[in-house]
Amino acid sequence: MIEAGYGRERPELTGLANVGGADVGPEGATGALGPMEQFEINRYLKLDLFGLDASFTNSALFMVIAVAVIIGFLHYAMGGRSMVPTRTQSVAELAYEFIANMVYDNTGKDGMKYFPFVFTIFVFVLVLNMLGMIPYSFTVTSHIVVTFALAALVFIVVTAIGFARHGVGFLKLFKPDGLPLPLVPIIVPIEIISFLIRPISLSVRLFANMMAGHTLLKVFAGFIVSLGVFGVVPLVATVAFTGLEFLVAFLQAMIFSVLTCIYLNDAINMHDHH
Amino acid sequence: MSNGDDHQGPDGGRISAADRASIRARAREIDQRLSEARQRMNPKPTHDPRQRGQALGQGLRIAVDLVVGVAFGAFVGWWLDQYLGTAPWLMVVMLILGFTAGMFNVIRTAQRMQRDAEAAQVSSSSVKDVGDDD
Repeated sequence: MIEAGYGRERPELTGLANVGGADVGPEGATGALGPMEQFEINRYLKLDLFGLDASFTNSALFMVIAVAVIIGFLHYAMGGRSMVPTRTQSVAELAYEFIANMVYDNTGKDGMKYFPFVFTIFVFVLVLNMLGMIPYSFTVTSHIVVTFALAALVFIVVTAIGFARHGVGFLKLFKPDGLPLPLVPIIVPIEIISFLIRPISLSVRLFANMMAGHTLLKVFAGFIVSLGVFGVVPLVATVAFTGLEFLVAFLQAMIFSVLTCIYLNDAINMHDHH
Repeated sequence: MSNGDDHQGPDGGRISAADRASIRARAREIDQRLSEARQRMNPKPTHDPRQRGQALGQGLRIAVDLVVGVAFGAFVGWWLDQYLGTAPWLMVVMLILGFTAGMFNVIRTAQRMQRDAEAAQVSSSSVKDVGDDD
């Protein structure tokens, strides 16, 4: 009877822990060193919008911080607008040129119209990833909800641009030129699926890399303490992985924006153009 | 190249010893510059951290495409099966279609990467298979 009662209570407790109410933290008391604890969502300000949970969480807080950092940095860096750039100004110009070249190389002249969109996405993802590298901070991009929302935004924008520019002709994206008639019922569904899985792979790539990297770091860091003297080995590994994580954080932001450009190119130029 | 021939041909004695020595020295100098230039053309890939980062980025890009197609196909097929009551069939079909779609994306990404790599080294003669460009 006690067993049954205990068994029934357990899932409730873990369920609460997953939701992570700010006032109760049954997991936090026991598993403070758990590698997954860093991904927990905490509600700072409870808010209920027509039955939707719109609380202000640590995730939202870090997004606000990221936006503040971006606007603050760019405003400060470009405030002088001198001919010979200062160090911060050249960083801002470097980021601008990096994305401008990326958009131009991938989409051509027509795509430069959408440069602000790509630049915003790149800087937002990059700053979120980098903020996540600060100890005790929260990595927003390690949650698939966030990355999928971003990827869905890209997907919707790209599809809308495609239909706006080409009308129904955009559907020709699913039927390559010179496709033999007997192959149409096979190739067209495959092309449609390969178009539909883009936002999924786009979001899964970012979220999985960030989450896996941070979990790995935490696990290795946990070994340092538990292995005593031999903890030197995981310590070295942790230092190395931290460097690698910075690289991955940048690369993932870059990949996300490169793929946005490639998808934009499909919508603007219909596959063939380089 | 032609220096070497000059040196080889008139070995009969029409060229003085001093000339021959200077030609040898020049040949050696050209040889050294050639090998330097060759090294510049094909640097060892592990020495360039930028290239390494690029390779890592390419790997990360492709790996997910392989998985997502299969997972998406399996899930959608399973869901449609539940909905339509067509036991395992739609899942099997969608699994295969999803896998193929993932492969399509991977191949397209790889083609694009190859095009970019070829465009990056226009200076060197890149007459590798141009035919498989879509």
